[in-house]
Amino acid sequence: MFLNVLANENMKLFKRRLFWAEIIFLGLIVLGILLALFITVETNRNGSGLLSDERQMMLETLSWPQAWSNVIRFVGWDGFGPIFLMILVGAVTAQEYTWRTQQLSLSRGISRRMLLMAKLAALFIAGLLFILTILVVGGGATAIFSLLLNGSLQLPYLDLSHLLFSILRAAYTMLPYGCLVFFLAVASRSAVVATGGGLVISLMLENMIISGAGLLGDKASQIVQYLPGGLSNSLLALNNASLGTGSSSDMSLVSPLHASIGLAAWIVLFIGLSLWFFQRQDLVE
Amino acid sequence: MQKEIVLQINELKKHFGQVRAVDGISIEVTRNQILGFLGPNGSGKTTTIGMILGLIHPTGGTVTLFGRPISPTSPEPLRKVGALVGSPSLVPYLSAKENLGLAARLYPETSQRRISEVLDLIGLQKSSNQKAGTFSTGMKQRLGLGMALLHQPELLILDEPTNGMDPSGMHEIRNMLANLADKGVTIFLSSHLLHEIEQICTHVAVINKGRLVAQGRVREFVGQKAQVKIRVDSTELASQLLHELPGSIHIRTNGDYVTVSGVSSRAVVSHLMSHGVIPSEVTNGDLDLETVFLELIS
Repeated sequence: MFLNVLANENMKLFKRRLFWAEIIFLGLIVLGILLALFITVETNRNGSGLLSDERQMMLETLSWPQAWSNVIRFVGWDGFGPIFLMILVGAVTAQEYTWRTQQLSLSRGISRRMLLMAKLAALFIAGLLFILTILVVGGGATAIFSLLLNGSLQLPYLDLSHLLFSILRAAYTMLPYGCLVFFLAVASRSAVVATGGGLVISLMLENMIISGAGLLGDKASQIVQYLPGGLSNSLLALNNASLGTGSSSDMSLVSPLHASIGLAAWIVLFIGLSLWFFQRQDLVE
Repeated sequence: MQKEIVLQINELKKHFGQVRAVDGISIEVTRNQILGFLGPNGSGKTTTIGMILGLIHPTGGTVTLFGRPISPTSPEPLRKVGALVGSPSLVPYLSAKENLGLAARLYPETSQRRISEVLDLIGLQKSSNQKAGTFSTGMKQRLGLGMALLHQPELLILDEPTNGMDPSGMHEIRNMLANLADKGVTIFLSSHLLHEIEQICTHVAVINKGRLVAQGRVREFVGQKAQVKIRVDSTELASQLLHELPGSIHIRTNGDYVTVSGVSSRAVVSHLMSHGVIPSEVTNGDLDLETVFLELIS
């Protein structure tokens, strides 16, 4: 029965214009940013406007295999992927309360737990499609730019297993924010509160807490590293290291294992809270 | 032979803070009954139905469906129930057919042919590919009803099913419900339309301010008290005098007529005549459901 409920949730999700509009918009943003970088590099071929270091950096950003690091960054917690996911999760989840479409399943003997899990699973599938969009558009665009700029994709230098793990790590850092907005939507029944709350927490509040903790000393700084953003940073540092674009030896970061467990704990917490609220809600006005 | 109890509500309560929306009601519905669930706005009808369907957590009491207790955490007995609560829960950007498809997927044994049958039954075959969000209120009600009927439920729970329908649509729904009842479907019907209830239902339960004020067979209900209709020159004076009569009586005036219930025609006429009021016309008759309902909730 779970698969049938999931099929219903998928149908509702994939027939929504909002979902496809977000997919197209996300693809266009990724393409637009990379295209702007390419044009900048191309128009400064003779080093007229840019310093040679800056141009070199941009060139690397657009060239395989390093380009993947930047493409994957769009997926990660501080990229566009989570923002689009949060908007979708907030709108889709809260609108079900307005339309009372949960009743369709619940008044037919489907348990609240099964319905909630099916909704989450459908939203995770949507998240995967967002990631796929970023990877296809970003990977495709940088492949073309690499060929135009360097004449080859330098495939021998592309470590596929590291690439795969980097994508998985970035995708994993999206989940706590998706689950946070899901919880806010269930608890508040409002798309504005859920999406707005999620965006404020992820884009502002977390950074403010981290900055504030920095003023309170090392202990406080270490504690706030366990917020989803800090843990995501720690995990994504491995991507930079593995793809040769940075270092993972920053002492302020949590170990990758602890970061993975910490993020899982946040995900479980938000799903658990969503379930707790949903199980206790009265669903007739 | 004792009939199977399909739905049993026992001392059901729902309190929202200080407000007692439902305050200890008990109702029993046996197989093949059509129970009319009546009550004024805000009397607790929809809250009661929400609790039957596991959508609202009761503060106290129990609901049993087909002998099995139901609650928001154990909704399995609802598999045999079809329901339409208030305005139907439709996905507005999906077509009528797709909305029915959502309901059908929850009952894997439902065939595509059944979806087509239901579209015919509710008169939406021609609009089957139209988005539900563009439907009129009446069409939405029909679609909601279709979704409730799709899996051929044993118990149908309907909250104002003819809401927003034109008279011919209401007539069709009435006939449809009568046909379903003939086929052995048990129906729990909440409605404001007393005439509708009187025509369709075998039994009736009346709720007011969260409490059950009466329940029984419709025939017993409307036949248990007689009403006296008299024609007088001064309805105002007659009303004043009739209020002096002992017992619980209900008086209505309409033009030259005064309708009195809860007292015999002999008592009415002799009391009026002893005060010099001579009725020019006296008619005895059974009470209609509307009169009984108004009397119960007053």
